[in-house]
Amino acid sequence: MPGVGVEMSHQHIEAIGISAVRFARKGDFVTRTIAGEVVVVPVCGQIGDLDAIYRFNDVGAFIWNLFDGKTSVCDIVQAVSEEFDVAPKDSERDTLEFVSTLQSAGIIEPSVDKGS
Amino acid sequence: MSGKLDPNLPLKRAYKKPEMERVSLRPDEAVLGHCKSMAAAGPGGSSTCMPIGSCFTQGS
Amino acid sequence: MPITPVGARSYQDFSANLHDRMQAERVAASATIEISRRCPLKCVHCYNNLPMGDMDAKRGELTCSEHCRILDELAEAGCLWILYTGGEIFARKDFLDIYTYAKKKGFLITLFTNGTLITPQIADYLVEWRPFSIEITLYGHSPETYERLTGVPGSYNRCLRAIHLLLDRELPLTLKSVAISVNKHEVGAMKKFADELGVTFKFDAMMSPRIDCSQSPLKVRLQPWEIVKMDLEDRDRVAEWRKFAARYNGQMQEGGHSDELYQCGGGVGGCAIDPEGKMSICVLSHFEGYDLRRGNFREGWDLFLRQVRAKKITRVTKCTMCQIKPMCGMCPANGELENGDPEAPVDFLCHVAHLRAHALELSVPAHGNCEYCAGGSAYGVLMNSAESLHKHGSEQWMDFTDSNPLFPILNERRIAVGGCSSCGL
Repeated sequence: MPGVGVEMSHQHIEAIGISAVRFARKGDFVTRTIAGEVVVVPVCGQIGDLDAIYRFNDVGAFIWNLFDGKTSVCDIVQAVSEEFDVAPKDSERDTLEFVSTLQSAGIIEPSVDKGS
Repeated sequence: MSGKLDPNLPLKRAYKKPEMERVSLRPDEAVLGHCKSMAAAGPGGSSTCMPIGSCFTQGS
Repeated sequence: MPITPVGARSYQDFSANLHDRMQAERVAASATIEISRRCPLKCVHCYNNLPMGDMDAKRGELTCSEHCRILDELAEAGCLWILYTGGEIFARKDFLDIYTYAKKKGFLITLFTNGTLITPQIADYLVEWRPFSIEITLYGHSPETYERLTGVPGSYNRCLRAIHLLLDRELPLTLKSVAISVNKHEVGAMKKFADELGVTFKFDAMMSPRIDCSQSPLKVRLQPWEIVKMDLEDRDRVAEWRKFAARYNGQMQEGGHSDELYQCGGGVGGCAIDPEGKMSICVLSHFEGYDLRRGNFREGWDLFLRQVRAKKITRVTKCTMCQIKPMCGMCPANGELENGDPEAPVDFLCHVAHLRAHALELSVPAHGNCEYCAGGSAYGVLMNSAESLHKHGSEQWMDFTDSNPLFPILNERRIAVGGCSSCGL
């Protein structure tokens, strides 16, 4: 069973490659669709987590919904390529960049498969 | 690639690079503050009442 | 791995953009929900308060599960902003249950409260389940004035305690007040107090009659010259009025007036829901309501409120072509409360708007048979007052008196007659 929220070291990520990593949404968020826009609202937590909301574009929202701790980045890339009109290599490049951006923003975190 | 669309394949959605924006929650940026309704909604346009001046109700 | 910096957008921009789009599509962006009319205070100006022990009122209030169902429907309809108000929201022991449910649905929530029931436990809870904004009404700077207004000994200290409980926890607090005869002399002190705390302060002098038809709030309502004087004493307020007037005044075109009864965002951008689940166009409007206990939000919004919102005027009045109407506050809800008629001009609002416009030397084009315009019965006196305000208005008068030598004729207190007719009283 994947250990959602369990910290994964940078060395481990480098060892297995980021494509194999599964990410999970950090904290308690509610995803709302308001007038066609996807807005993510933090619900509870510490002050730093609650003083902002996040807006995603269509592709960003699609990827956000796949950060469930069970879907690897590689699988996300694949899903994006199947859902959207984009070449696989562009999907991979952009998805990896997006993952890094969200990780640096502190709203997703890698989870680890305890069984592997 | 034959260059022809397979009518049996579902159409894919238009792609744009994934983006996220962070919006800091700043109630002080909500300029509509004179009406019960405006105070919640924030600035711009009109929530229930026109902006400042048009609807005055007692706060709680 | 390249990292694109996270885009940042100002809240003002985000909100303005979303409101514009939602209003254009008639999506309910916000809802004002009155949790209860019961309140531990007995404020002399209040338009709707009932005693805490009013069992009829308590029994009639929506249950927690009814609130949750309505919140589900609001979320599905795309509503983002909720304002909880009353009465007093913490008069209900289960308010935090309702509030938490709303938080879990992803609403941005503002809380209006008098603060007197806020405990450290409530404040701690709000840290973890942070609201978008909390507004506490401060009724006076001194305990004597505060409690003369609220009618409850000890309420001042409880309010102060709440302010500090929230600020110590860095919760998003705004202070505000009403400016009435009882506390007008302390508005400046309250503002200074808020400034010292680093908190935004605002005040409102435009009291309306009670929704149960009582005119009692009007006995403490300030006179028009007092209200305009308070504007002029504050340079920022004057600047805001000028900016507002430049943006919104003067939009009526000859022969092109709107025939819509409602010209606000009510029923287009948002709605109000009262403690018993009646949905209406705004929190002041009680002539027409849709019972959410019998129906659902979608139907109420799409059918009932759409019909209300689409109503047309039945006659042309002096308000129809008034170019300073945006500054006035006249609307069907105010017409109902003051005159029992949504289209009847409210004299008090007209008086304040004209006096304010002239004191600020704004253009007031003729707009029909108006006593406050050139040729009207009150025009001469109004212009004298405006001139006096213009010359002396910015002087700080800490000692307001009811009778001021500069405005003797305007000292006459005019109280609306007629009231609303919704209950036949």
